[in-house]
Amino acid sequence: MTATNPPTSLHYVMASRLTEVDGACRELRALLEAHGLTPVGFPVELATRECLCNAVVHGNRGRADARVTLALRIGRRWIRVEVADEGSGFPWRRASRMPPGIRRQSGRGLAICALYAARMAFSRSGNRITLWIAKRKGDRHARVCD
Amino acid sequence: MPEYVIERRQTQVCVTLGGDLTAAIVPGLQADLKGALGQGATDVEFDLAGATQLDSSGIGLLIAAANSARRLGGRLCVTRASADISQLLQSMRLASRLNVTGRADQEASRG
Repeated sequence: MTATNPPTSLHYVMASRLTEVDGACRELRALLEAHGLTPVGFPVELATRECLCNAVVHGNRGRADARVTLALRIGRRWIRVEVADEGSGFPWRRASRMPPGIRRQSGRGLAICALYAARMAFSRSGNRITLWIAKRKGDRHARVCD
Repeated sequence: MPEYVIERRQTQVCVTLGGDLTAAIVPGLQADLKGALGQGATDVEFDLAGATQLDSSGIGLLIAAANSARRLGGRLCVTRASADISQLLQSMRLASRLNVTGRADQEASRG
């Protein structure tokens, strides 16, 4: 009898609702657990949550008929997370990746992604974000190459 | 355990999370908390022992509650946060604003 390896990728399409985010994160957690990647479960899940919530709230702007797509791939050293929405994007070049002032209640989504991802990239319009997160905590500042 | 329990203890409102403090539960919790704060209650405690995740919406709720408590002359504290959550709040420069103590801190102080 041969043991089957767990899949190394996840493709998840969800309705554009915040209540759908937990379902996507459950799938993500199961995949990470199957690969023994629970130690980096917190940063991967949190950064993915931020991207999914941004896609629902700011990307699709509450359009009930729109979809959000999550594609995750486990590579040799990196976990690549890609989230796309059906909106028109945003001016990501001008968006701050620093945490806002301590009294500000919002505006931390990108700062959280930047905290945990070694690299962050956007599509030209900004309706697709890609993050590379290290499989080992100490690798965060290494060069992304796979 | 439900998603959260809100209890009044003299001048303190204690919110005990049964799970994660994330975008899906924030609107309901914010509305319930608004009703509980005031009327003599000035302090808020968020017990995060049951939470493994805290996203930016949850952080926004903690800051809103801290701002409200300060306006009433009280304070907010976050207790029994996991190491990951404590580190996140530290990185966001919010650990002292939100008076964060982690699970490890509390176990150490108990001896």
